[in-house]
Amino acid sequence: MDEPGNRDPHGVRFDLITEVGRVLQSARSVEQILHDIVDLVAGLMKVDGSSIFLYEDGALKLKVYKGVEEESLEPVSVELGEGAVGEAALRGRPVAVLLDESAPSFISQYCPEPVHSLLCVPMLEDDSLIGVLNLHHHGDRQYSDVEQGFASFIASQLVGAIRNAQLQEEILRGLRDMATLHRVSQIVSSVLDEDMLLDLIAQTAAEHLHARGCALRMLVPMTDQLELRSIFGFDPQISPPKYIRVGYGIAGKVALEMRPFVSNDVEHDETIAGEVGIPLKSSICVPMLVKGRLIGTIGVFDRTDPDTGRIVPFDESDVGLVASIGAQAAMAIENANLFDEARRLSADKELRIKELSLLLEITNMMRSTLDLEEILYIILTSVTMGQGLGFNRACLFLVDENKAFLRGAMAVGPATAEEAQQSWNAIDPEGKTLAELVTEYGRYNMSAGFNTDKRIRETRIPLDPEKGVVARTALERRSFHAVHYSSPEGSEETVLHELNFTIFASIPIVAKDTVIGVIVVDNFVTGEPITDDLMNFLQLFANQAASAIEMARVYQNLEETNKRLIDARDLLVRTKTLATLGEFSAGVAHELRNPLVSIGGFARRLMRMLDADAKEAKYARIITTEVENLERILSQILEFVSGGRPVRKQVDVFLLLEQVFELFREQMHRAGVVLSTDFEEEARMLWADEVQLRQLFINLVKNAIEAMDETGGALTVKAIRMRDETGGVGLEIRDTGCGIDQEDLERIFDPFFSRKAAGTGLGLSMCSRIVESNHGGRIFIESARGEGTAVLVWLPEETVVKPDAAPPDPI
Amino acid sequence: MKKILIIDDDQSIREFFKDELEEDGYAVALAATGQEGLEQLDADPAGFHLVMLDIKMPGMGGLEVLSRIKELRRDLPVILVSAYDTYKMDFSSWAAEDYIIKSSDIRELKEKIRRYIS
Repeated sequence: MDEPGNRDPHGVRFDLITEVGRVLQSARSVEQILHDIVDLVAGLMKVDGSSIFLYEDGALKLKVYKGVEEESLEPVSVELGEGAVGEAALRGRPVAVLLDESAPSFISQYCPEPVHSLLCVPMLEDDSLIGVLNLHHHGDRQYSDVEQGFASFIASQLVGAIRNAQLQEEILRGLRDMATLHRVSQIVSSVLDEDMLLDLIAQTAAEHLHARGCALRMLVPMTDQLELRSIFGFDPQISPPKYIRVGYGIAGKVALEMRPFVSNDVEHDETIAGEVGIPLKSSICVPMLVKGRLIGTIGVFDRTDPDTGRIVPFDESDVGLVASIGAQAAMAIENANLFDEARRLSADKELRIKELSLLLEITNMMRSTLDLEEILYIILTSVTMGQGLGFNRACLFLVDENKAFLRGAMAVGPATAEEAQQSWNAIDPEGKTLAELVTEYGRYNMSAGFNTDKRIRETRIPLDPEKGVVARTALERRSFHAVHYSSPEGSEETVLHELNFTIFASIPIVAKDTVIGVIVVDNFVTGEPITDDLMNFLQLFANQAASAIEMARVYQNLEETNKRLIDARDLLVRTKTLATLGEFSAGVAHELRNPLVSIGGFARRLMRMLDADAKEAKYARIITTEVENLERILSQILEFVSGGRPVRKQVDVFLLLEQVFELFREQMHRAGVVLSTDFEEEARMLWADEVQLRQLFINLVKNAIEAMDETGGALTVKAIRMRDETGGVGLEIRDTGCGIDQEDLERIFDPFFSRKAAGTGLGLSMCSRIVESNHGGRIFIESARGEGTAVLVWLPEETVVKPDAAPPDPI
Repeated sequence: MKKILIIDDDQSIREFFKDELEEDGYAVALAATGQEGLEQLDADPAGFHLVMLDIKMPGMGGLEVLSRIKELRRDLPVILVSAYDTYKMDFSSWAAEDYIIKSSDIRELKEKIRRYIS
């Protein structure tokens, strides 16, 4: 017990945990976190050095060593089972060893000073290995259980922090992909000359993937030849073959199989070198398809690290990104073709050119936002404005997720002739850009509260050919020009009839080969005919609308996925912290109990031996009381830790609550607290651990009463059976006491967090453990300073006792 | 005079229990390890009336000591005295007569001792 670091195993204080938490929870890169943690650990554990290995590609790689800059760190790789580090990793528990000088050790490879004692602590997440945390000391060093526990605690916290940082990097990457796609779509929709377009696509793809080069090949119509149309990033001296046959080489295979190709090892593949004219290391190649028909391939080569210039491998997300760029490019190329065709057909019609540039302007406007509602808004106002396509009215239906219904999403335009007059007089088009007019016109239409929009939004048309022409537009994927039309009897579509749509056009919106919606337009006020030309133009417009809608949806999905990930991560971190902190506290608490027994015991004896009035007796009494307090706190900590496995049986919750109220009857009376209960009989019997539920109720009722200790007030306890899809039982314990500050609410369930003078900070974290970990429920707190607090406990459906039903599986 | 054997690796605790119990008129023998305790018992199996046994000790653990004691004298009451309350749940499957969590307030312990040797 003479070693300096071993002197005081109980001295590991809880505020150190806070320090570790502070370092780990500051959101930064993995490298920074590792760096800070080795410094901190070496300081806290009083050892000479500390290092961290992470488990990557089947081996443990040295990532950080205290006091050594990342650049000067020797590359060290250790197999599982090799040395103490490998052994700790293999066994999944700490390994402490003393190294003698003759022992072959990779440690000496990277430690500038001799190491004699080594403690290796594995970092695990759900039993899977993340890495190993090592403590180095030049002298003899024994690690107590508490110290090992503390090191394990830090290791487990580190896992959470690393996961956090990695997740953050993933999210940033996801956002980068979105930004690239958005940029590509902006470019491709603003350029309608095909050669320029192809060059831009190649350049954008290469730049955003940090690839050395990109090659675009297009299928020559009516042949099996892929023509090299654009190449970016290569020496102009190099001339790759201009034509490749479908089925030959990488591009040829991709074209034949219509499947993406990725490889990070094509260095020795002659065909690839032949295709682009120079040797390459890695390649992604994807087909470009329009409505399932191949129009070409897009290939990127040699991804490089922008900082070092070194070539790094492609991964799965890169393939996805290239595929999306390919899809965007395909659509743009198709549009450019349509544009060319349209230009040829109507060379003599100046009007058509005007329409097409209008289309371009609208398209650009749609590309400027990722908000779905806003895109729909731009689409419909553009269709209906005099400066736009000039239809009197437009409605938009979107296919729902299950592909069972067309859901009315939005409508623009008046329901009656009078409304129409108002809307046109309200806007003065003089000297305004189309974008300004769209905004103004749209705002007017929305604020005018035309019936059309309201009615259409309420409409659901089943995707059934019997239901009329709108459903058929989506099902048959073709446009209809309906004249003097009336919807089938009893169809949801009759809403169109009620809104006076008698002569109208109905056009499918197709994105990536799937119908995502239908646009319905008419000219019910002016009675102007809907020409075939106008129908064609509308179809062109619908294609643009489709890709804008699709983009917004992808973006929305990404956002929702991110949010779910973040929520799940928070819950995981909270649960993990509780569990490891609990184990660590148990170790400390037990070590403290023995000395406390003798201190308190002897103080008690002193007290008895001394004259009761003597000063010494008073001091002994103070020691006795304080030790009793400490013992009580220890019991609470241990109770928290061993809250453990619940033993479920049928519990009469109301009876249990009444017993708990009885415990506090006297205290409530003194404080002037009035109790009222509202119990629903169906919430009475639960499959639960009676001891733990009692503990839960005692904690919650005690907190509520203490909050009203000085003021008195009302304690309301409710139990209800949840009848909606949530199921289960809800319990509410509400007081009218002092309330909790908003900033404290976030930490209220953290162990050792307390604002009470004599609190241990374990009560509510124990409650959360009982409800969430042990009974699969959720616990929430609502509170406002000075207004009181409500604790809401939800226990899931499986805890409800039902006649003839078996008890739930143990958790 | 009734004789109690205290087996605990913590010296202060041994002395504290000894002083308390001697005051109450018991004879007390002390052992710092399980091995030491078993030797004393083996030397004079009939001389002891009760054993107070710690569970977590270096060397031979409390539960092994317990089974050895019961091999020597099946009828000798053993009270487990531990800083760990987690074991309390498992206690019923063991051969000990009772289980108590260490505390500076030893009234409950004394109560239990009286129950087994009156």
